[in-house]
Amino acid sequence: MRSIFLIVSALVLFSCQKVIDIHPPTGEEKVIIQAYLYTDTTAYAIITKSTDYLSKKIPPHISNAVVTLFDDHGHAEVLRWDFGAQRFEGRFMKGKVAETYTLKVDLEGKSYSATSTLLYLDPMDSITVVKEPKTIFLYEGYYMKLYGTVPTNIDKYYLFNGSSNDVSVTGYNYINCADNKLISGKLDGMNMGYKCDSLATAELEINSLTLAAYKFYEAANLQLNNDGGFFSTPPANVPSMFSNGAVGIFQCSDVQRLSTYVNVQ
Amino acid sequence: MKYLICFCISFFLAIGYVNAQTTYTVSGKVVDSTGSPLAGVIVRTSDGAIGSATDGDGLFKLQVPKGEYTIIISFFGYKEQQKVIQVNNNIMLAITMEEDLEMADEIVITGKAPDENVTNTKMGATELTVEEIKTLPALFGEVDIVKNIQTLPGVQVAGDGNTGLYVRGGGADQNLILVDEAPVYNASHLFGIFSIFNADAVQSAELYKAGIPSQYGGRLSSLLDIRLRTGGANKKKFSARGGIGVIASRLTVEGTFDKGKGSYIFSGRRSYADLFLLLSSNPETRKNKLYFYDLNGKMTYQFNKNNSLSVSSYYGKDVFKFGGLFGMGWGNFTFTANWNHIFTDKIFLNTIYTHSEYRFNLGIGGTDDPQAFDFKTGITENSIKQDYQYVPNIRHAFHFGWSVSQREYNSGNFVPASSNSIFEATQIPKYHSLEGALFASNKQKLSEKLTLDYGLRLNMFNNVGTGTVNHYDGHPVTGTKIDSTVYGQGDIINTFWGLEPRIAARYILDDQASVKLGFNRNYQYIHQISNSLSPVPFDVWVPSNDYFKPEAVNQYSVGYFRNLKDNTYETSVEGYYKTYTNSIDYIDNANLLLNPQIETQVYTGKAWSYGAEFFLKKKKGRLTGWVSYTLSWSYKKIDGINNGEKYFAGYDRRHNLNVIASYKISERVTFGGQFVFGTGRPMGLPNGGYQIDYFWLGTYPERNSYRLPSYHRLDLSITIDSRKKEGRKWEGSWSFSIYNVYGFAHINPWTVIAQTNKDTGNKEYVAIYFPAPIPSVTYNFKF
Repeated sequence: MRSIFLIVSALVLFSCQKVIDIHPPTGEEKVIIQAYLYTDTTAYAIITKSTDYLSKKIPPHISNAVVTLFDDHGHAEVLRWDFGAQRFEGRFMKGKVAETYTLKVDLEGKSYSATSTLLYLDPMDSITVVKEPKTIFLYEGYYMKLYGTVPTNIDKYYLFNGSSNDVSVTGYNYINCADNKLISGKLDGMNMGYKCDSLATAELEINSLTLAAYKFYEAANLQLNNDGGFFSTPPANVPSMFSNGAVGIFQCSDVQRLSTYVNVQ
Repeated sequence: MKYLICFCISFFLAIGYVNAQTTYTVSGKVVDSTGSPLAGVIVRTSDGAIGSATDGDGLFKLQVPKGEYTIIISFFGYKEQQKVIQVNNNIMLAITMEEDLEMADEIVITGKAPDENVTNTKMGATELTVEEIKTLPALFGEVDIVKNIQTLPGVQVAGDGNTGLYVRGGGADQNLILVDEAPVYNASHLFGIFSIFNADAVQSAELYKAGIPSQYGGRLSSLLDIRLRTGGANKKKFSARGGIGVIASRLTVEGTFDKGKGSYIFSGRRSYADLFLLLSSNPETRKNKLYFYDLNGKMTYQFNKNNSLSVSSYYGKDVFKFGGLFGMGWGNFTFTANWNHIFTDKIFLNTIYTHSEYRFNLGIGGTDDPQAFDFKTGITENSIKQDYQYVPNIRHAFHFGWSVSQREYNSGNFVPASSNSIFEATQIPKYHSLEGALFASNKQKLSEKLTLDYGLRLNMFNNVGTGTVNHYDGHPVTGTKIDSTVYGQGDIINTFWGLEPRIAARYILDDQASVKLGFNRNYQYIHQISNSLSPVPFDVWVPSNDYFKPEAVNQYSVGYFRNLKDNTYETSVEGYYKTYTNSIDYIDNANLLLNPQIETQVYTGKAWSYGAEFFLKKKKGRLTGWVSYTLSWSYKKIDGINNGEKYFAGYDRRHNLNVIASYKISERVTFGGQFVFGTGRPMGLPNGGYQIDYFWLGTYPERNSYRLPSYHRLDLSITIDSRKKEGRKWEGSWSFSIYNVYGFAHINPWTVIAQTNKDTGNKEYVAIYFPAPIPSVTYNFKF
């Protein structure tokens, strides 16, 4: 429903926009952690630090941390730094549905940790790609549609990523996360908003999320599409899943990938 | 309890004093040349020692000792009258005012005598006339009462072209806006660019920033009391007026019937930007709608000298439709029936029924779109009030009565709009409430110099079923919902009550100066769920309950008032200090729409504001206008927000300066100008950035810690009246204005957003601002 705010913001067509040269003082440097663990795969983590908001450089990935993954059965694995991938990677512990994991990062004398459960993803049926005319919401083109059933008796949270010919079509300013609130249960051709090529393989990746991870992505979306608080909720810090002042997400997800081949001339 | 005791003691002291007096009543009714009652007319003795203003039915009452008096009757836009009377028994006068063609008569904002700002006990009232308003620059040429009120000291604005009112550090939902006593829940057209008030339909508007009369309550910060015009001006059975502007046009017709016993007025206004869309060659564009309209009507009838009835109504709506796939509309409907009854020459009664509705609806998607839905919110209120006035003598004027209000709050109704929808129908539980009040006040003249105005309002608020109350293991924001209680229809869910003392004192220093002190407490039991600065139409209201405790404010104020050069100049300095309890603010990233657990998104705590207001007004001569300057601070401190540290309210502005001038170049040509300066409002901007996946996000410091650049704007206008010719009924005028004259070289950001450029990938700060300059032309007429 946040999209209503975004639509209204976009409706203020009579307003003007201009890039301005202001430089709010740079705040305290923060440790940034993003860690992922998917079903039947090993974990990886990327650690950086925050920088000036207007920085044109991507902050370097930190390699001198100790990153440890724990499950709730007493097992633990220290993730190793992979120089090529520029991230910490696990080798043994793989994600299992319904298991709860804790990721701990020790860096420069401080410890940061986050706990997350890998929740089961009810599989969807299929995707199709359908040509849609131009509307106020969409450009004319071929769009991915999802079919399947969503449970309604329990809160569910999802993250979607779309690709066409292995190229992401998700976009750089929108995170496609959703919950099952207001949903009847039957998805009979839900337009995912992903514009695909007409001759291509289209793929949709569906991730299960915990509530904490969903809130992280939802708040990130608000930041990426905010209007400064004039019509919508003012942007604010995303709620970090990590302790001790680090900012970041530890996403444990059950994953389903649906694909189809688009052959429309 | 101590307030009640003080009040009772004062009341009985007053009654005792009453019995010691021997005076006679001079009462009457003031009408215009068509017989329509005039409100706000000043009736006073020539020495100014005894005076009063007419009420909404044109009635007045003076208590004077035996003797001969010269009674002066004055009202802006009408010729002053003097009547010599011999008082040796009760006297009733019938006074007909003659319009002064040199002056305008349409709107008086806070009708006052030339020196009433000094002599009365009110603080914070400022008189404006429609003549001053109409010759001033107006955005898109639309004269707007609310925008003029925003230029008064102590009133802050959120941004360019925004009609939201932030009074003395209060929020936009803390203003009780009444149209003929009926509350208006969203007073904005076009997302706040215009207010809903058509200037042609309005008779008066009075803003109380402090000392709200005890017969009014329910909001913390201000009362904006708007009265619709009574029809039948200019001695005509029928007359009309209107205007044609670049955004909207308006027409008003009015007249009298039954030999002047009855009157009517109907007024309408519509914007027509969408009509130009019909000229488009694109059929999709031609489907778009973008307009607002409003209708006002009022009828009055004088049954006999003791009974009169007026009914009035407002209906307005905004409509947005784009491409047949997106539609949005919102609007207000109000209805007022006011029966005025005179029991004796000392006791009046107004019995008032009001109905008010606010509705918002949103529709997205086509009929075969599985993601199509309709969404509705709204609030409905029915109220009845009896307001007695008892004026036993010249030293006392009592007000007392009761009121009851019933409300229904629709916080969100979500309906799938297609047969193959992915959505299910959802109704966020509706809330219901009953609010009652007993009130009494007395304006007591203790001596020639000292007058007290004291009152008490006892309110009671019941949050009633049907309803559902959720329970949590701790605070709703941090805890987990453990269960809920369902209440049946009419079940009492919560009961709150409060005592609201309203006290003001005025001490006359000399014939041109006075000092005033005031204290008032107000409670607010309904809360607008809004986390934005613009009056967005999908705000919802909720009643006080277990989690939204009643908000309360204590306000202390002091003022010095001095008029100069025979009331040509009016000056004042006022200071105030306000403390709020149970002030609401929202958690970071609050999710307020269609949230059945809205209590999980808010914290409550304390807030405070203080400031000084300076006002200088020139009321006579070719050059008229005013300068207002406000120095103010507004803070909040709420556990759970900003780490529990104090922070600026989102509408805090340190300095706020308005310079308003109207210069009559000739009989036909008037030049108007307005300069506005304000410290930028505080907001949040990221002070650091980081990458998650391929998204660039920001780290935000303390809440509202960044301040937008200062705001300043110059508007200019020129109004040219048509030549007056003997016997010609038609009168017209052209008004040309430019809003934000130098806006091409300077921007006044509404807000600033931090974003990653979609094309370049660069991170940037982007100002969003109102386009400028905006020229406009309006033709006004009447016949």
